[in-house]
This record gives sequence, C-alpha cells and structure tokens, in this order.
Amino acid sequence: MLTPAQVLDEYHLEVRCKLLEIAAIFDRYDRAGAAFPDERADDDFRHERVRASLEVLASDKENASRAEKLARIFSGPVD
Amino acid sequence: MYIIQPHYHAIARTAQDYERMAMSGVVAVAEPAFWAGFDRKYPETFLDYFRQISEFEPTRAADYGIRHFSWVAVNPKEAENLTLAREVLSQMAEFFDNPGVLGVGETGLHKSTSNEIAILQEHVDLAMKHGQLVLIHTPHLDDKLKGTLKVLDVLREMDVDRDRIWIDHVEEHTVKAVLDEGYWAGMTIYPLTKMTPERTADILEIYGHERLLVNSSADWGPSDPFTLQACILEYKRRGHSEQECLEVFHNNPARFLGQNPKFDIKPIRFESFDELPAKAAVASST
Repeated sequence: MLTPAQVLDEYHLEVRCKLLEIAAIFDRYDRAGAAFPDERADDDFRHERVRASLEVLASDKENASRAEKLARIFSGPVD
Repeated sequence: MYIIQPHYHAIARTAQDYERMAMSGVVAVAEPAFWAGFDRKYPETFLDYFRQISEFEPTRAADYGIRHFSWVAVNPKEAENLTLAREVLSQMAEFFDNPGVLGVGETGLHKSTSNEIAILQEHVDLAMKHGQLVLIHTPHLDDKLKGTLKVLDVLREMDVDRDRIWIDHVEEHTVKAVLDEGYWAGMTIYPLTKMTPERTADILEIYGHERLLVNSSADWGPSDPFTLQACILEYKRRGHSEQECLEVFHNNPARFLGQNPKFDIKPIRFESFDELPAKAAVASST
C-alpha cells in the first residue's frame, strides 16, 4: 500500500485532470442552456445525482467510502 | 480528413507514429527544438540536434509521405545557462537557410527567472531580425498563469510582429489574454496535463477558430500524437462540419506556418461534386 504522500504524488495530476473535466462539462451544459433555452433539462433527475455526489466528494470524513457512496447514488432503486 | 500536426517531437517517437499518422490523414508535422530530458553541456550538442531535426527527420517522415518542418531554439529549461544559450544563439541563424526550418522555437519560460527572460528576449530579437516565425512555450501547471502573463509582458516591451508569434500550451485561464493581444494561441492535448480533447473542443466553441492551433506535442514523456485525432472526433461529434474541422486542424496551421514561404501547404476547401462545372464532375468520376 502507498503512503498518503505517495498517493498524492501518484494521483494528484489525475485528480486535477478529472476535476477540470467535470468543471468543463458543467460549463458546457450551461452554454448549451444559453444557446437552446427552449430545450433546458434542469429538472432531469441526473442533476440531483451529480449534486449528491459532489457533496460526498467534499466530505472530509476519514473512511468515508466515497466511491461506494457514489456508486449507490448512480444505482437504480433496490426492491 | 487532412491534418497538420504543428507541434510534434519526432526524434522521441518511433516510425510507427509516422505510419499511423499517415494512415489517419496527417500530411505534415512541425518539430520544435525542445528539452532532451537532461541539461546538455555543449553548444555543439545543440547544433547536432538542430541538424538531426532539420536534415535527418524530414527523410524519416518522407518514407510515409509526410512533410516534416522544424524550428530551432534553446528551450527555456536550458536557458538558465546563459553562456551555453548565447553560444548556441550565436550560431542559430545558420539554420534559417535550411529548406525546412520555419523559425525560432520553442523558446519561452519555465520558471520565469531573469535568465530565462533574457534568453527569451534574445531569441525573439534574433527571429525578428531575420524575419522568422516564433514559437513560445509557456510553463506547466503551477507556473502556467504567471509565466504566460510574463511572456506577454516581455513581448509588450519589444518591437514584434504579433501575427508571426505563436504562444503555445494555453488553457482556459490563459487563452483569452493571448488572443486579446493579437498572438496565435496553441492548445496542446496531453493525456493528463495541459488540455484534453473535450476541453479543447470547448475552447474552439467559445472563442471560434481564428488564430487557434491544436497540437499533441508528442514527446518522450506521457503523450500521444493521436490526442489530436481524438479532438477532431470530439469536434465532429458536436456537429461541426468537415470544413470547420479542416479550418482548425489543417488550414489554421497552414495559415500560421505559411507566413514562412518554405511552408508551402495551402489552406484547402472541400468542394462538392454539384459545385463543380459539368465537365470537371464527369472527368473526376471516370
């Protein structure tokens, strides 16, 4: 297992890249909304999933099992 | 699709790159001088390197039907050694007579030190004195914003032709400043750092394609020449036409690099058969 510093060294650029990509996707959605105001999809259920995921990512609790929580957020209901 | 790869470090890549690029529509590459991964000690090492990229690499590319052009410079990392950099600069102009050398690059900044700034100024002076194009590298990651603004500060104090200067590796936080001051701006697509194909397509949609260049800058590090083709695919997926793709990925490099008459690949325009005169349409179908 890597040390915390090694994890940062190994994955910091990957985190940066993926966060930038997410930010760019949000910007893209906003520009599309401005370009096609009659086709906005602001009540689409997927927005809520993204918002909930961002809250999980921002959590600073240790052992937060963030990946599992996100997988559950993006899963359909279990009967 | 016809593609010009305007920033490509061929000496760090295998012939398989050339083969696959040729198969994907690349008609020309331009190779700036760059850092070898270690600091060179001798001016002669640079001069041999310039010979390699300006004399030997074109023969390797030609085997695959690709035109190869090059640039000469001491890269910003090695510009810290003033004595070495100036010795190389004193002999650099000899390479401007080479039929494939397009100008001075990549010069620029790495940590934006006073030595780097002095050598950047000397490179730009040399290029302007000899009517050469200039390719300017901007720093990576933490140093990007500061270094790009410093490059613009330096150029603002000099007598330069802004149309003939390409400032490379712009990202979301630096592209506007470069375009606003009248320079050409280059976006480099890397697997992790710099731009991605999708974010590059975003910038093309936000700013339009005037004075924007896209490249892969594939070298000896984590990089891939086909990030350029990935961007073309992304741009097409968003509904942009073949002609728009041609404007960005072929015609813009042809326009910028073509300011040096040695780069004789002209912008092209798709023409449909029904636009052709009847005789030409018949001739082209037989």
